[in-house]
Amino acid sequence: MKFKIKRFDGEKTWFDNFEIKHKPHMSVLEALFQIQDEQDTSLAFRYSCRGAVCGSCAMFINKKQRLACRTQVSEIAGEKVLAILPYGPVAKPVIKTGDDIIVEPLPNLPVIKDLIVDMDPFFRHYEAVKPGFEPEHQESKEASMSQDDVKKVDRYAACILCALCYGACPVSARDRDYLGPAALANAWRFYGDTRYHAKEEMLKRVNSKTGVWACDEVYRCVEVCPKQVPPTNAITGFMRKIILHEMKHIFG
Amino acid sequence: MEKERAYGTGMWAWLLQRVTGLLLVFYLLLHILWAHGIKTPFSFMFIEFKTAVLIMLLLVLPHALNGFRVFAIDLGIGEKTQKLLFWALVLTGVLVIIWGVP
Repeated sequence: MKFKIKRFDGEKTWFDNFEIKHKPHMSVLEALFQIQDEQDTSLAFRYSCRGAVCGSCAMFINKKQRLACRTQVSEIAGEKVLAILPYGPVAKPVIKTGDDIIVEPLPNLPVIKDLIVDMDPFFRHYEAVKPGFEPEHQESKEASMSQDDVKKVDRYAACILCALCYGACPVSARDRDYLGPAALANAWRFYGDTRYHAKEEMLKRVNSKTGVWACDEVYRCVEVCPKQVPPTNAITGFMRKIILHEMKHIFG
Repeated sequence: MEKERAYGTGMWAWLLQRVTGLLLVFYLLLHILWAHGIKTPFSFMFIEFKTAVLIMLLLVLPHALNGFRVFAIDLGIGEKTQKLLFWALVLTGVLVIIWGVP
């Protein structure tokens, strides 16, 4: 089984080829461990839980954004991929054939070394929408939610902040100021929460040309999400809420 | 084996919308020039009427039908329904083309 891994040492970029010994039920992350253990100790990649909970091992595997720990080597070996390149302003179809497994760092974020990207821009956008309960609105007694209310936000609360959606988003590729799918999905998670009261402020934070209105609505974030969070639904939901809010403002 | 989860209908619909949109703008320009009696090397005179109709349908249908899909997305049909709608509209488009070109 051949692996082709994109390397970066701070100055230059190149591809290295590795031959791995395939074991049954081996994940891409395990293959990276094997390469690091037996062939090249300088190979750098980020991981933590190994069970698709922490979201640390988000990578661009075979031209698709995936978690290395959750991707089985046997499933993607010899895979043919017809995708649209996520880099830059122009959409360009890319075709991947052949047996080798290509592992690259997550797109749309600056690379630090090999497969490790700088998550700062991603978390800056996340923090910008203030996805949390406002302390001044904190209720003194226990605040209960009905099961139906929980259901409305539950899907969005599943986000593990792995940034796969950010790496797949064509808007994030061309506009680094765009808040991105994860930040907006998390904003919606709080906006829809019955215990959250600063709703108008939240609408203001996402109502901008680098906020919800920048979205292309192409569902790439939804397609790559390992936790089935639908950020596009959150974004179109915000769009409707903003329009209704403005209408109320105009017509009293 | 998990089948194709990435890069589905949405992105291709987006690309098709842009490409057909650009071609329609180009067509509109040719049409206005033709209406003013200005001849261009792209004049439709040299192709058969039936072929011209087919080309028009191939440009207009994907653009118009996907326009409806985008409206529906903005109205909040959700991520699963939009995919279903995409294929339903593809089927509609194909049927209209078969019906439209005798």
